[in-house]
Amino acid sequence: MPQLVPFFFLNQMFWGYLIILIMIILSSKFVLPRVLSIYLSRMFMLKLKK
Amino acid sequence: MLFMNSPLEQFEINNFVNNLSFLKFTTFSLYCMLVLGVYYMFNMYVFKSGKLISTNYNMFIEALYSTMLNMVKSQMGNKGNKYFPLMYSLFMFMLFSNLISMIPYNFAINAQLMFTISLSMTIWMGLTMLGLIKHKFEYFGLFMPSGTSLPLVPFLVMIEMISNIARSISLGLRLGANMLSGHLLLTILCGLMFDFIMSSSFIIAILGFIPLIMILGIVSLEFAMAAKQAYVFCVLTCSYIKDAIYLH
Amino acid sequence: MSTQFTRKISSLIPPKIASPSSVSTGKGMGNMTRVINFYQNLPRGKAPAVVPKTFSEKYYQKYIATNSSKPLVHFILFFLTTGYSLDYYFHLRHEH
Repeated sequence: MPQLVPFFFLNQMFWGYLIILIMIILSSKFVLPRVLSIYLSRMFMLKLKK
Repeated sequence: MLFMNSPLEQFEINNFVNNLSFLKFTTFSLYCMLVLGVYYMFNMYVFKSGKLISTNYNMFIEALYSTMLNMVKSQMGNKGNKYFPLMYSLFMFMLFSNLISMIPYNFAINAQLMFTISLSMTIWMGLTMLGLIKHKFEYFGLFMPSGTSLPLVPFLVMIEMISNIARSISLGLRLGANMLSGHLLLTILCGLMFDFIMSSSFIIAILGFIPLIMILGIVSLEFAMAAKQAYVFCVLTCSYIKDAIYLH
Repeated sequence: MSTQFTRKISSLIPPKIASPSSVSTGKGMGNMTRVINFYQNLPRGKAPAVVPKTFSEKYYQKYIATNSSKPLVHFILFFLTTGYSLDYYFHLRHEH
């Protein structure tokens, strides 16, 4: 397939892995704890009410 | 005259900067950064107000979060919680890059077979190393399902080993080939419709609206495939991680 | 690598102020002052309205907080223009 030219292989791998790595770091440090804190607060409020 | 010389030209990568060997800024890297920007928008920007129950955009993210969490917990149990950021990020990356590629004139990241196959090979290599480090030589017991009779053992181990090695390629190839074929099919059908409608005969121009119905069906199928392929990739990765951690 | 980024669970759960023995009457009644102080020092009334100053705050209040679907339209238009400009620059310019 002419679009899978080897010239861009290393570029694709480098940028793709870099962006996925940045997403993993961002998600585990900022995004996922934030969403988890919302769930925990809701659960805490429900338990405290009863 | 056709505007595109071949339907495969939509997958071409172009350079913006000419000289930097592998660090050059191409359309692929531009779209990777756009996917990161969309990820930031959906995950950090909509949570800025700090409310507990917020907008519909929050609900979208919470639905995806709980889907991923339930999937990881049901496949891997409690030991799998440390793989949750990896699964979430992979799923979000693939979902957003697939959805962006559905907008006309845009570039499909996951249709580059090299990228998806290398990603799945890296994941498979990592799983094998994880299993070998954790269980040492007992990891090869993965290839021997319990309850097989003794004469069948050599053939079964060979077949299991080949299927295990084929997992590394099939995981990425499934995603890449589905995206590639979907976009290619849409381009070919739209070229067909263009040819019909722009012809000089009136009957053929009317007949040109029949591919329109097919295109409508295939576009809706492609939207479903965009989400489904991302989900299938993550489910299968979870299943392979479970095999490596728990050894059946 | 993922083990380095876990946060302690105590920073996520809201602080424990009241326990059943402190709130009930009888023997353990003495610790009510902590509960009372906590709830007295919380802010009261409605949350203060945020006056938007930066572009992102204004955009948030105008479109996202009101649950409108215009951000999706903006999203599609943005990607259409970037995709078309890339296509024009690399492909459609050299057509004829």
